Amino acid sequence: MAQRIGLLAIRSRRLTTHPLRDAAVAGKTSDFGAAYDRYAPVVYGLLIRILRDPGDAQEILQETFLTAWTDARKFDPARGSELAWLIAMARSRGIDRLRAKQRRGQREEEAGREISIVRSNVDSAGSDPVAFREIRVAVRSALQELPEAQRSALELAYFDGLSQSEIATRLGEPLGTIKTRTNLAMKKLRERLGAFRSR
Amino acid sequence: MTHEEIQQLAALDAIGAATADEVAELRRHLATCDDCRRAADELNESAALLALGVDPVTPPPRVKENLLRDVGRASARPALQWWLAAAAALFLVLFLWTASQLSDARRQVAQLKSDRDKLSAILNTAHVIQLAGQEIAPRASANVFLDPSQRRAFVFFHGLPLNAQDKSYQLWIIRADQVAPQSAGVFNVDANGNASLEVRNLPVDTMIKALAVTLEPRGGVKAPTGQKYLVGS
Repeated sequence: MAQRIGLLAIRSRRLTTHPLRDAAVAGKTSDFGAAYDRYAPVVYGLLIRILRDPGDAQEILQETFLTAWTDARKFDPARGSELAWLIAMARSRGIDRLRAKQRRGQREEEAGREISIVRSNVDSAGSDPVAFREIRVAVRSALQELPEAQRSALELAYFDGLSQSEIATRLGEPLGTIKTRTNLAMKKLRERLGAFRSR
Repeated sequence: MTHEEIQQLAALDAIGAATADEVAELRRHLATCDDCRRAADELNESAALLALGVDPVTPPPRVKENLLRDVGRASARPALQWWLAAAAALFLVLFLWTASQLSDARRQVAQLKSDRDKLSAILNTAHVIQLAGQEIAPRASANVFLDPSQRRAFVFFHGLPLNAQDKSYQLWIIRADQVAPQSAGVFNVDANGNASLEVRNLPVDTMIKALAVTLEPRGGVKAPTGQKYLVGS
């Protein structure tokens, strides 16, 4: 009995439903709006972290969800949760925007000015679904368990969009070392978050 | 590359840290290796969960308003595309129809050219008999171009009265060696009273004494019964 409860508990933490995809495929705008409410704070939080600019983050957020609406049929539940799909789209667009801005050299001057505005918007977890809060705790603890060098290699790549050689240059380490650290970090992350993936 | 090395590339790719060459190599491998593809999917999803480690931030309401407005427009688009597709299909059908008409027209032109060539060949050697309108159709006329070598004739009728639905004109050959006229064909005239007829298996021209046209019951008869409209010899 206890074992069954444990299994159910684990199962409930997996993100196996796809309300966003279902709403888009059915063409139900109000359901899509509800799915947006569920996911948007996570995606927007990520974009703010990457871009440090609310205007850019809002633009990419809107673009990402619009793409989710138009390309909903391209989402394959067998390959991951729809939140992961959304996040991957948002991150890739966010990093592209970040690089474009860095090329224009705008980031440095704007970063300091916007951060304070961003912080005031931080969600007090009121509308954050329980499932997300649970994953959040797991992700943070998994990151905390990583050696500092591995964690920073991972974060510089994921949130700052730096290539492995850029990270190597920035940290003054050989490229091979950075690749090894990133790989070890991803390996641990994959093990630790197994219970939260959609499969 | 070993599966282990491929999965290391997949780990880098999951956080956007693989180079273009590495991504290309990875994609090639994943296209044929289910185990590595599964591992790559898991790595991608694990990387996405990293985003959940960041503090969530509620976006301003106008983002949702703009999004739903755009979504409404995007939903209206399939209908437009449907119409575009329908219009494109119609255009295609019209195009194909026109092309087929054009090809019919080309065939007709080719046919006419071939007729003209035949006709001019006939005209060079032809024996022409003119038929004159009789009392009932004084303005009618016909030219019979006999081609003895091919034992055929082309006949062009002009100015004949429009025949009624239940009537047909019939061309008769009066042979030197036979009393009874021989039918050479049945025809109807157009609104201008014109018609043309190709007659095959003609008797040799020395046997042709005269030609005549009568109006007969529709489809023609074995022996002439109606009035003569045209006669010539």
